[in-house]
Amino acid sequence: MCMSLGESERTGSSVLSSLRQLLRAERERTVPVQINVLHYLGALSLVSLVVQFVTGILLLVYYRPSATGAYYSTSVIMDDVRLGWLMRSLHHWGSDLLLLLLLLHMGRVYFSRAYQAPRQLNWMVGVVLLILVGTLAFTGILLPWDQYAYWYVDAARKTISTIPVLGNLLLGLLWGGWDLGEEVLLRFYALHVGVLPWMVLGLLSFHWLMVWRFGIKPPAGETSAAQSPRMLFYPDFLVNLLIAFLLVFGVLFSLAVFFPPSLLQQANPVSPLAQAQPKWFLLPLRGLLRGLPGPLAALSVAAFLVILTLVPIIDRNPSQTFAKKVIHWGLGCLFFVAGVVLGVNAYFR
Amino acid sequence: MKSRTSYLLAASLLLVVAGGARAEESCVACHPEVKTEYLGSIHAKEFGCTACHGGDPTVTTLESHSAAKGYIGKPDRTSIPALCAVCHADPKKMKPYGLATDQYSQYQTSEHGQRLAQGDTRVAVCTDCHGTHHILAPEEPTSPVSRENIPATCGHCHSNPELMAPYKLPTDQEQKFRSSVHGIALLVEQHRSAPTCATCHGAHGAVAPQIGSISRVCGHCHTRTREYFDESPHRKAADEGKMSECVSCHGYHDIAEPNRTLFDTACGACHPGDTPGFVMATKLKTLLSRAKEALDAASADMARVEQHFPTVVRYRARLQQAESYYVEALPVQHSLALDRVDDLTRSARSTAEEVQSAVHGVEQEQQVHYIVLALVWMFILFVLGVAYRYRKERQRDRRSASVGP
Repeated sequence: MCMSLGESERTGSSVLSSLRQLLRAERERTVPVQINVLHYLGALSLVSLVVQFVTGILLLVYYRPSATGAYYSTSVIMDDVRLGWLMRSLHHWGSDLLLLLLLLHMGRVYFSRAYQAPRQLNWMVGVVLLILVGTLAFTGILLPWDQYAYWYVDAARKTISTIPVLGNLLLGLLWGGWDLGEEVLLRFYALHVGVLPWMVLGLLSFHWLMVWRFGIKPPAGETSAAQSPRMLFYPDFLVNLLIAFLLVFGVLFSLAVFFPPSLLQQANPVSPLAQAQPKWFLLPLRGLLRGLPGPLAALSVAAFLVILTLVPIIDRNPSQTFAKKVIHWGLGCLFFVAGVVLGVNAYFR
Repeated sequence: MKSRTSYLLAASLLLVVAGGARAEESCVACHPEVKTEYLGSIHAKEFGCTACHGGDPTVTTLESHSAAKGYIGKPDRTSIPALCAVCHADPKKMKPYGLATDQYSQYQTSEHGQRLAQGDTRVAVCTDCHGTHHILAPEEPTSPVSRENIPATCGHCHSNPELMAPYKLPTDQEQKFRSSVHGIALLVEQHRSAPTCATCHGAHGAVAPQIGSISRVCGHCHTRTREYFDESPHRKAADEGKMSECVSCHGYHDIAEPNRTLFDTACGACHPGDTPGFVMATKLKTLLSRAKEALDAASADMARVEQHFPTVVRYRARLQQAESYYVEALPVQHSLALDRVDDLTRSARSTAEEVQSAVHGVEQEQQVHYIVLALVWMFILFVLGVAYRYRKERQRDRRSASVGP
């Protein structure tokens, strides 16, 4: 049953030759020349996620997930750890940047109808990824355990509790029936560090494998990859990505230096904060929950997510008439404007 | 005797009305304007006109005003305290409202009460301060005895030269109080704990603080200052009548916020030139001034730097500690114990300087951050330039490859 020396050598050389073939194929991988800056948003999201992982792991070294340790360790990160403030600041602004890039990327995919066959599953995975990254950002808000963190999450709990059925499910998952305290902090920490990042990583790997498998959709007007003028992925696409990333990173770094995240007083359950404004990405949701009765708002969100996920199934025909084009763009713009209006309304109320 | 008769009359009237629930009274038919005024009164919830004025509320004719019906009309000034005391000195009646019942006995011991007992009807009685028909609880902002209105209420008589002339009392107390540190705290800054006239003089038992009791009156609030004053050589001087305790330096109705010029003016008034007392005052002044200057400088630097670098707030607690040393030194100076003042002001100064240095450190550190940011951008721009040039070359190569040889 043992493999002979000759067989082993043969197997080894065949693996090596397969690897060489793969590398050669990858070196010859091409992408359409006409892709514009919007086509780099997905790759930029990936790089931003890497920044989040790196800064998150560095913060993890000093962070202590307990009611007494969370605030203290965050203040130590801000004040005493060399460049700790920068790591927290990059992580803080990085989460906003990542969400923004994901939303823009999703918008680009929607308006260019890049979700159509054979990329339907990738779109659906992308929707799940967006929800997971949003949840990741939300769970991270509580971790500094300052007044904003405490009272913001407390306000969110009240808002979520107004959602029928789903609200109780979410509260059970995030709060576990506890009052806001160390138990909830630990749950948020576990989700933020031990569950959600790995779910995101797994789905993202799948998402990228699909992109790798099907490539970037040729620009409008080109019906097949063969007709589209191509450029090499290495180094042409990567150089363009490097340029885009450096610009984005420069903005992120500047934001981190000029506007480091604040750390208010330690969370105090008997001293409510006058106003705990939610993060920008949750404003439309808050606006919706405030503007409509709980069940109707929940139904609207659920319907929106279902429709968003099923877009590739609803819009299957590659050909597009003028009327269909108007409906497609109209619906996209309508949802975007509705989100902005709801968000602005929630912010100023 | 007259007062006692009035008291008994009023008591009998009140006993008549106290037996049952308040009924609609006929008085309002002829006195509608009083009804409007009275309805806003705190008393309106409990009883009507006849409780104080007597008469029969069920009779709609002038017969209700007859003496036979117990009508007393407008109570005369001498009988008013006793009339009010029928209820306000009765623990059973006051218990439900949680009110004290010693106002009348206090009033009788007061300057006002004693003069009234001697037949002087110009002195204040209950209605002069509390009003007549429209009596409000002291907690009501528009009540004449609410904390903010007490100076005006007292000043109504005590600022009246004609009224005060027979008593040879000054009439500038209200005006002085309004511009004093206490008056500003009460009337401008609206501190709930700021003193009013009644805090020092008493309310119902109003008397002028006597020499020898001044430090105790001031010491009700300035507890630690009084303790330190009692430890000082000034205690003996006050006991011997050589100084008037607190008021010798600070004055009374027009007490200004103490500042360090007091060392020159107040101390210099009794300890001239190079006397040991003046030397001590100069040393105290120097110690306190240096500590205050260090604190002010640290606070100003923190406020300035905080606008640009919010992380300096982490030193605020330390600055507050420095301020607490200084605040502790302020009452201690009244003990004239130079070494204790020195210890506290030295702690205040060194802590403030430490905070100032840390704040400057943050400022410098932030400037380094900006330099690093500039360097990062320079690096980014350099790499961008190289990448952009490489990209252009690649594009040129692609174009020439697509055109062919």
